[in-house]
Amino acid sequence: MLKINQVVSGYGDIKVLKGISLHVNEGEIVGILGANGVGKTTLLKTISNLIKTREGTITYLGQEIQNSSPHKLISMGIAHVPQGRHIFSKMSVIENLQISMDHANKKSNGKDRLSYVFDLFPRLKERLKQLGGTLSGGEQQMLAIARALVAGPKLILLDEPSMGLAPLVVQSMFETIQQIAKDGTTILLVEQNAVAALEIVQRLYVMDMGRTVYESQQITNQELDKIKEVYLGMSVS
Amino acid sequence: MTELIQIIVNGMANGALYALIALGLTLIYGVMNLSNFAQGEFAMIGAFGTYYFMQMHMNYLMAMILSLIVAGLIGFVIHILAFHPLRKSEPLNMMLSSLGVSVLLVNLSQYLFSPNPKVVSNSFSEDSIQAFGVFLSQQRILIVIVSLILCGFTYWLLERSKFGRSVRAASLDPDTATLYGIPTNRIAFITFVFGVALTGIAGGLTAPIYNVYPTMGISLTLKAFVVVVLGGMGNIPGAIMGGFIVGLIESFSAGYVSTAFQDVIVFSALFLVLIIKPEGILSKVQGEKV
Repeated sequence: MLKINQVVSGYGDIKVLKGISLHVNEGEIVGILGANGVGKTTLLKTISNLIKTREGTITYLGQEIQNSSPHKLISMGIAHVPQGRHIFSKMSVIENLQISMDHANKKSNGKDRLSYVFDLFPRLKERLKQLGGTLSGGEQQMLAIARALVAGPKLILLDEPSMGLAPLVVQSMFETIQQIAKDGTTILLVEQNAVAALEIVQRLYVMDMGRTVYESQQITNQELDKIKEVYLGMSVS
Repeated sequence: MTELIQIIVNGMANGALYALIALGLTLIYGVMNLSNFAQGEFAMIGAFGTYYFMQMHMNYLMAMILSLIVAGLIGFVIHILAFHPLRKSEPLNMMLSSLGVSVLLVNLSQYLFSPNPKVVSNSFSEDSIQAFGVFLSQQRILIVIVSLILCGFTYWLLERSKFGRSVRAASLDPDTATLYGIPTNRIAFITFVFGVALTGIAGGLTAPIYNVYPTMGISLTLKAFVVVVLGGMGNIPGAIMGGFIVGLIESFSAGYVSTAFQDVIVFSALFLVLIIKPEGILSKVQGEKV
């Protein structure tokens, strides 16, 4: 579905991604793990073209997208949930969702998609008129994911959904993410919270210094321990 | 009593003009992060446009509509030349660029039209209505009505339309707005042209009262900045309310203190607000931006 081939990008003179390659198949939850500052967020921003690809190609559904305008990707079916949620703080919950629906590709069944996200996040339905900035952290993350979903995406790029959330909230958030994948949306998940991410991903890459340093095909317990110990610096008892 | 009503009416008329100019200024600031020091010059363009179209024997309203289009077109060209290329650099660069645009427009119009003030007279500026013993010039009533309609329209556009939603989203968080399908560059363009066109109308409205001359925009820019700071930068209702407040402060100072002191009092009010409530009198405590 998504294929990233030898991509180089960065800010100014600094190269953050140094020839990274990876792919995501339809229906998967693919995790990208790695420490702070290895280029995980830059990778997602490069996919959605907020940062220009300098070398390499990004192919989505057989089409090269590295030169398309960033505002067109949502209608092609790629929704990016940015790190730190970035909901529109002075707009109401429903307006946050409308923004996304205004530019979605499937304009017809907007009502279905709204009721789908309200089933996933009943809390949002109770707070439709409330300003985004007054929601709690967990609710803001719900809204950020809901905003992506109402566009009817085929692929969601999720950047650190667990950031700043209480462990219990993280758990239910990840259960919901699993549900979204089950309902047919492919997910590329970037996480620092490796423990939570490892619970739900089907495949994963470990990133370091702007490249992938490890790729797992199938996650076995044995492999899991190795990943934790070697790449994520966790001690495995 | 009649004096009081007269003062209030005059204040409202000036305030309506300030509100209109400040509205354009605050919209542009919100979306482009640009403190546009050339804003008043678009009022000057609107006023000169109105004058010259009327010289061509058009009626006043037609001349104003055409000159608002001219102001918009000039704004479009200026956006391409002076602001669009700087959109990714520091906001300070765009602000300096706007100062350059201001100087350019003032000098160009001095060269083209001469510095001598031109008089615009229309049927509204000569007639006045007498009510409750007060003389109300029709032009001032026209200013208040047109400006309230335009402010109301702009507010409706921003709060209720899909376009307005895009504008607000682009001003709150341009990157995320882009991710959700909003062409932020195009929105910035449209907002700039719309903002300067509003100011162009203000120029056309003020022409019959204050005459038309190349430097007329400079003091309007300053007043508009006072209004925008009073109301809170980027705050739309704040700009509208702030406009009327500044207009009223001015006319009360002129009426009860002295006209020589009116600017002193307006700017003192600005300093007071900056000290006591620097985020603007109309802004509520903001939700934390996470």
